[in-house]
Amino acid sequence: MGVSNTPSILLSRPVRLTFVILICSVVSWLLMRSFAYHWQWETIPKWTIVIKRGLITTLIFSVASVFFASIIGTLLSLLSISKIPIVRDIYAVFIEVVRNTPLLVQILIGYFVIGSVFNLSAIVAGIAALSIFTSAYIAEIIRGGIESVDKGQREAAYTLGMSSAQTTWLIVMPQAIRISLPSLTGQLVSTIKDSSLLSVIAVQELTLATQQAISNSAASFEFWIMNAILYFVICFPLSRLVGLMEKRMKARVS
Amino acid sequence: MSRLIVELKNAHKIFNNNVHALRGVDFEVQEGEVVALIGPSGSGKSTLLRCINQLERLDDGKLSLWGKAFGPRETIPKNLRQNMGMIFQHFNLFPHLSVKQNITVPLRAVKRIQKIESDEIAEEMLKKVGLFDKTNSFPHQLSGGQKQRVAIARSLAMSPRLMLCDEPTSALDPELVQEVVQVLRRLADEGMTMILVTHELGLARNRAQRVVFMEAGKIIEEGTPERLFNSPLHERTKGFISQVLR
Ligand SMILES: Nc1ncnc2c1ncn2[C@@H]1O[C@H](COP(=O)(O)OP(=O)(O)O)[C@@H](O)[C@H]1O
Ligand SMILES: [Mg+2]
Repeated sequence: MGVSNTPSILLSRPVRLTFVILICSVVSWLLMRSFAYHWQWETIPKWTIVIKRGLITTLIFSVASVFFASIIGTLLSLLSISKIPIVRDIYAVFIEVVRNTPLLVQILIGYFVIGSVFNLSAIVAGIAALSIFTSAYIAEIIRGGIESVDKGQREAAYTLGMSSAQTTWLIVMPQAIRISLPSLTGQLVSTIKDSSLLSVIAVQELTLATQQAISNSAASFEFWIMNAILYFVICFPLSRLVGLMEKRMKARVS
Repeated sequence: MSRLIVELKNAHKIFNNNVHALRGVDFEVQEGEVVALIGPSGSGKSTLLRCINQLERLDDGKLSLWGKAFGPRETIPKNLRQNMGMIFQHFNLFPHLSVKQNITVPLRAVKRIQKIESDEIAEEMLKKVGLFDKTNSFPHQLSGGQKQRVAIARSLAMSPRLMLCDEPTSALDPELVQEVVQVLRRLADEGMTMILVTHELGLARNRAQRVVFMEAGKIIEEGTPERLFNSPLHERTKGFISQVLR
């Protein structure tokens, strides 16, 4: 290791991060002071129960959606490696439509159109819409995983006499999912934030709870800031976990 | 009384990048025979091997296995495919499975046998390649030579009647080559029919009944190891052999 690589104490990462956070805090504090607004942080504790319930609902909806989306996404990813061209086309159309239209619109159609045809509650329609939306991303993640599995793996399975389905489920898919785990965790982060849109169909999740607190008190920005902080507190550790998993995976490959 | 188990007639393979990898190859293997396939890199040795188990499809010519003929568009049935084991240069072990599972998972999937029986076969095969103590290890914990021996055990567990070996020692550190050569030699001694693509001329000389020299998608000449190594007919063969032995 060269001398030039040795960082001085002043420039080490924790010190730099503390510095950045400090600067940001000072700037925010100055902004808040000059903003002509009567801050009422003391109202927040009164809403603890509602907010807590919203937070739990957000977590349950996100985990449930990612769970269902993982199943749907895994099955969908199989379409992408089908030998039948039309099956691959169906996959491509589904992925492109879901990923290139707003989730908000998908939730509204899911609840008010499809939901009313099949008589679905907001909870069911909400989880269904979020699951299908997320499944498109997960399918693409797993497809990437499948493609990154060395083709020698399929060849070995073929020469051992395994069928194509056996090869996919016993050899390729377990490796593809393992490769995809960091990205799948990352998807959970996105879904937690995406789930805030379920507030439009009156699912009592964190963002709707926040809105309710605001409309029943005079403190709007306080609650929005609290809302952002709560999402951050949940999502940030998960994001760090993604980085950690990626590092560990790289270490194992080499 | 010998029986023809592999026969290629006028085999042609053209990859879609227009590489003409096999240019009219005639090749046959008798039951119980050990055939060494040698030749410079890119001469089509792997392609020839892979056309026999249809990892690659012929573009023209005829493939016969155990007396059954297949045209370029005909798929060989699963039972014939299972008769042919293959050993790869880079082992291709399943990294997510333990050494034992590398053997038992395909075995149970293909032969539909009970767990106890597949476990027994796995243990027997691992003993055979001298790796019984690695039963519960994972591939990444093994040396290259050990990986290749597990791959051989995995293949043998399917009780193949023909082994296709594509440079089984080429990816190994020199000090690990002999342990794999030893296993292959024992396999040959047991009467296994083998096609061996190799740069280990020692193994070819010791165990092969016949050596086939390929270049540029064609078989240039073939013969017994003594004849081919000691008095090659073609300049090409002479050049290649002196280069490898150097
Ligand atoms: N999958 C493939 N796609 C395109 N070209 C290939 C493929 N496999 C082999 N080739 C080409 O075919 C020729 C023969 O290759 P190969 O059979 O691997 O030779 P060898 O095993 O004797 O080194 C080479 O020119 C190689 O580049
Ligand atoms: Mg080769």
